[in-house]
Amino acid sequence: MTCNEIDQNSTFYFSHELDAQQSADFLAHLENCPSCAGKVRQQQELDHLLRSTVLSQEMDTRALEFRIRRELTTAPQRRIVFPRRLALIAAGLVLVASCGLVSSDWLRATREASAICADAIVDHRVEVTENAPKKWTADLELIAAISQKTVGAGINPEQFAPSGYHFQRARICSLVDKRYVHMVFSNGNQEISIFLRTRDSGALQALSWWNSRRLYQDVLGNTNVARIDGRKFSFVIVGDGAIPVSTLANDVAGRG
Amino acid sequence: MRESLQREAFEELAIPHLQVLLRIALRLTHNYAAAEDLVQESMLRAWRSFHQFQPGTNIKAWLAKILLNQWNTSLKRAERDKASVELNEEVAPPVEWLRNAHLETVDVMRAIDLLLPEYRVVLLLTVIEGFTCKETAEMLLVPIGTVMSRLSRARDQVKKYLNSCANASSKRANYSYDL
Repeated sequence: MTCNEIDQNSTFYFSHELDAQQSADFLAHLENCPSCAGKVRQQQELDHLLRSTVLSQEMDTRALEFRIRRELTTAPQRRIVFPRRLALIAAGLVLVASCGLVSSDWLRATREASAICADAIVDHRVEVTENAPKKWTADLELIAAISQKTVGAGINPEQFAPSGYHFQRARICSLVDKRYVHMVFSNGNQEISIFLRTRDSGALQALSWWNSRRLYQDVLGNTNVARIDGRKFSFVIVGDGAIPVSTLANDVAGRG
Repeated sequence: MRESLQREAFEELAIPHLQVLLRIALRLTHNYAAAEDLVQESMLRAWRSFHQFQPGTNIKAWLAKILLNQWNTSLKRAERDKASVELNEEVAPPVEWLRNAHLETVDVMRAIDLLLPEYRVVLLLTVIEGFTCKETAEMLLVPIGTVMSRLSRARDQVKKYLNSCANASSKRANYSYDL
């Protein structure tokens, strides 16, 4: 093997892509050529530095894993649908639509609310229940300044503390693609999350009404979530166990 | 029922590779939230194509290929996101990690991030994640020779950058010694 071939083959050698004869030739050349041996050693040192640096960067994938698993439960695998089945499905849809039982706005809004609530559950579980390290603040002035910048209104979290709860900390987060103020409140025993943003112009329709406010509710395992619109803000409330998130939602919505 | 068994099989095979995918996605997008989104979309695509996966073959390479395709698609759809990092909370994890790291670590990461995307992705796949050149060529749909030349250029540019960092820090050290 020549020096030029060593240059070309060193990567193949270390990724075990050379056959036995080529590997033997490669090693034999290195034994007799200090220059090539030096270059190969330098390359290995550089590769080791790059690899060890990048691999030492640990990343918390729990939230991502949770979102992926949840999405997989609702996403069907692609299937080959036979024409007859297609025709049956199409007929069924026409029948249902013609009965006026389906509102496209309702479906779209429900899907959006569901996605927002799913994201909120993930954030609550990972960042509050499991205490994943995140940058929180309890500085009310800072929260007002940051929330003014990110959600368009200066927020005082204490204004939104439900009865029996006290403000603990807050941070800015994203649910789906929208910025929210994530506030944590405690009643001494448990912590709840309240996510807030200024209300969008196209308010989400809901499955039920609660004291004339639009409410969407869901549950995942032991975690309950409710999404509600107030006059000025939209809220998502997340709590574990028997916490009555619907009642809390109505309480909070009345304050904003 | 059958689909839920398929899903369990997919999760068992694919979920363990989330760290690898996220690592690649982060070095491609330079944005933690965008990287997570990229991985999430890629996993969904992988699930929908799971019937095409041949059991016993390299699932990591298969997933990485889907991720790279997804990334290329997003690059074609929109301009490459070079959004400024203005104390964005969602970028927090890698930035917080780098804040506590030694200078050399920051320099190494920067050296990688400064590479052109086509060089960076080859470096990531071969040197960092350990894919063979043949696997990398198949994933990127380029000849092996192209992989080799891009890898060589990537290494040269990284070396050049790190040498300049080393020179800069030795000058700083000499200056402080003189004080």
